[in-house]
Amino acid sequence: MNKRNEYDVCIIGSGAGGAVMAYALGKAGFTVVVLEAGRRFKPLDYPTNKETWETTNNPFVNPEERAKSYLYRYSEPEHLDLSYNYLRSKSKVHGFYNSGEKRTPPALDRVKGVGGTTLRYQGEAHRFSPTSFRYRSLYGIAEDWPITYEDLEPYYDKAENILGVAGSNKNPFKAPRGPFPLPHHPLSCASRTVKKGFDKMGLHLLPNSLNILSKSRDGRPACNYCNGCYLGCKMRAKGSMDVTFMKKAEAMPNVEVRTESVVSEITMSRKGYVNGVIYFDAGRAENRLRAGLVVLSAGALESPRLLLNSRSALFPDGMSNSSGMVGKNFMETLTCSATALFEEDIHSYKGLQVDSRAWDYNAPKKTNPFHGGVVFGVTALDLLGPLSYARLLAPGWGRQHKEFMRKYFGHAVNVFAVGEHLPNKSNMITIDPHAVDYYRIPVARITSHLHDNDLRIIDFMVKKCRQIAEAAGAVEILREYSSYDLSMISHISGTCRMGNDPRKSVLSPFCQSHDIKNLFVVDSSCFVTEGGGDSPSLTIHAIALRAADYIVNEMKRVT
Amino acid sequence: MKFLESLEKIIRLSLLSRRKVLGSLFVSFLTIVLKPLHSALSSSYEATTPGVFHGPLLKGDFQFLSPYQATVLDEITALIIPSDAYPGAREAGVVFKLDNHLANAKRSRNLYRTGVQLLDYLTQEVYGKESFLHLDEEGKKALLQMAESGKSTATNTEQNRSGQTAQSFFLLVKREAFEAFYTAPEGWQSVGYQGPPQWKGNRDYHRCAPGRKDDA
Repeated sequence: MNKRNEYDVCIIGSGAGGAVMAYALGKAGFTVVVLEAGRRFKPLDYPTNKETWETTNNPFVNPEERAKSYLYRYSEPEHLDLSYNYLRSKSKVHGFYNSGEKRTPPALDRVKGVGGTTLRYQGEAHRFSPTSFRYRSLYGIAEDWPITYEDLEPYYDKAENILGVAGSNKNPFKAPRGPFPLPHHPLSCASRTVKKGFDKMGLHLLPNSLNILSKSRDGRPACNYCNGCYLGCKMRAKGSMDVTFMKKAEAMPNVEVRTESVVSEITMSRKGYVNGVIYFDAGRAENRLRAGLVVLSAGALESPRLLLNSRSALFPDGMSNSSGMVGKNFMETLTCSATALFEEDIHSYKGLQVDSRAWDYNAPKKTNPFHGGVVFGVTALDLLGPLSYARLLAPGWGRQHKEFMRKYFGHAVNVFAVGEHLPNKSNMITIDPHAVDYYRIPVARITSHLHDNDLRIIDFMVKKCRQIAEAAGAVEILREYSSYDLSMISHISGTCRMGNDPRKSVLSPFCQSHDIKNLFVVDSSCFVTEGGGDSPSLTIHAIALRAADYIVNEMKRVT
Repeated sequence: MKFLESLEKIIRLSLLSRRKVLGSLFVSFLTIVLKPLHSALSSSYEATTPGVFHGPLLKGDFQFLSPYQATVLDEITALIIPSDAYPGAREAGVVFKLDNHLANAKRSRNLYRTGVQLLDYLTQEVYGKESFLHLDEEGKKALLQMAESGKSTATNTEQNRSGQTAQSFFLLVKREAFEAFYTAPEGWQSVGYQGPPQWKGNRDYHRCAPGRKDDA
């Protein structure tokens, strides 16, 4: 088959960044090709209507194609700081999850597929607080972003409108704003039960802002509250990129998507510009493709990996890496959860994954025992059906088991928190010297350790979650776990940070490479800090829309 | 906030590796323990073959399990998830599902096969009876508790290893029985669950139990 092999723009990845770039640059009339490493998933295939739905933990990983899924290595996990030994993750039934001396190796929950990790996310659509962009000048920590909340605000508006974000603007912890495109979802019975604990602690549990429809819109139906967001949304009520930005982009004749296309290298001309990519197709055949502009949106792990793997005489240490900052300042996710059991039936398996949040500690405060921000919330998470209760919570077997199941199914919910992992030069992505993937491309190696501030954040979160659960009237706390000993990572960022100084940053404030003017990196790699516990996707969308505007204006100016 | 989900991944990974460990333990068990055990105790193993148990055996079209093995597993799963006012493993046909599952899961087969033999062996050791099926309910429970604890009555190493295998067998059956039961309508009924999340959904998710004043 003769495929076209010259495009105006080549976008690598179709997640929160790439999908938006495809939409915005396609709309501007460029010929665009999107190379997506994974395949296309059909909402109708998701498992949530099958009897055996609870046995599928991750429909986005095909056990037979595990070799093609996310692959990474890690440097030796760190020894646990035993002065915090009381933070060890544990369960009433199963005991300690990690009884060793070291933290578990990093476990990343990322998806390859059209839509990227938004296929699996819980639809949180947060605007970062204005303070999140100015940590250095306001609190003397980390670095300031080269952009402010005001720079992003119009793009936040635009992204929310295209998606149909549901939320409430009565949130005193966020910047003042107009109404959301859709009304917020009502709080679940479980959230209202736990809210009593938040109230007693003087915290404000508020409706979350979500990229999940509260009313039908744009040919997609409203959410019917099945709670299975991370198993894939059959309803298409969750606005993962495949049913929103990518769908709109693919409807344009000038946008083409190639699935199962894994880029191994970005190529360069002698003049110092990128001119295309080399990629493997589904049959593992090597292809070349030429493009006037390359947008790298493969995520904060894979984007730096590709840059570091694209070495040349001009960039012996990796493409666009004259600053030496590619891969540096990797930020993982600090998190904790307490599973609270209630005497009353709160049917916590119904609803939305994260319908409520408390932002009281989102903005840093001098009086906090840590730097950075923390956001609390309520979630059923993995407690979605009887099998999860049997596996994770119910003690023993026989009558004891059956009585627990009968009495307590639907009575347990997780009080959880997400804390900010501040940037640190010693946390980084490098290329593993030994391991290669299915396509023989060297894989990324993660080095991520907890520093003193991170431990203080985890300590604060764990204690607070327990206090909230107790104050809410929980009869028992069945499980408690945290990033202290389990390295559970999903939000990742910081590995190609943006900045004004080309010696200290990889990207310009518009995600343009300081070194190579026709290369853009548009994903959470560009983040300078993590937004105080908020979720990253909406900020990625807004940054992408802003970068696309910049590209379109520059092209107009030049031509 | 997908990050919390990676916890489950970690737990799963550890379960997986535990399974692998169990698998290799089992292989070594087969080669070092079972063969000599078998020759040394061939009489007691003989005694556990279905020919010696004269009671009624479970009838059914089994793909992998023998009628005797199926009957033992039916007893075990009915003790793990007993029937009472609500359905238990029997009503949900758990043993048939396990058989179905074993027809596809070659890795678990050996453990099922030797596990049933081991239970009979333990029965012989502890109660002097030839088959697990000869025990009354309390005896069966006590034996399963023994298997679960991983201890054995014997003091020599070979028999201690058989204790470990009995434990892995029991934990495997328990896990797979839960899986078979709670993915079946009988299991849902026993806990008051309405069935898979879609397509019904839960539009009443914001309401609490009747009588709560703050209900929306």
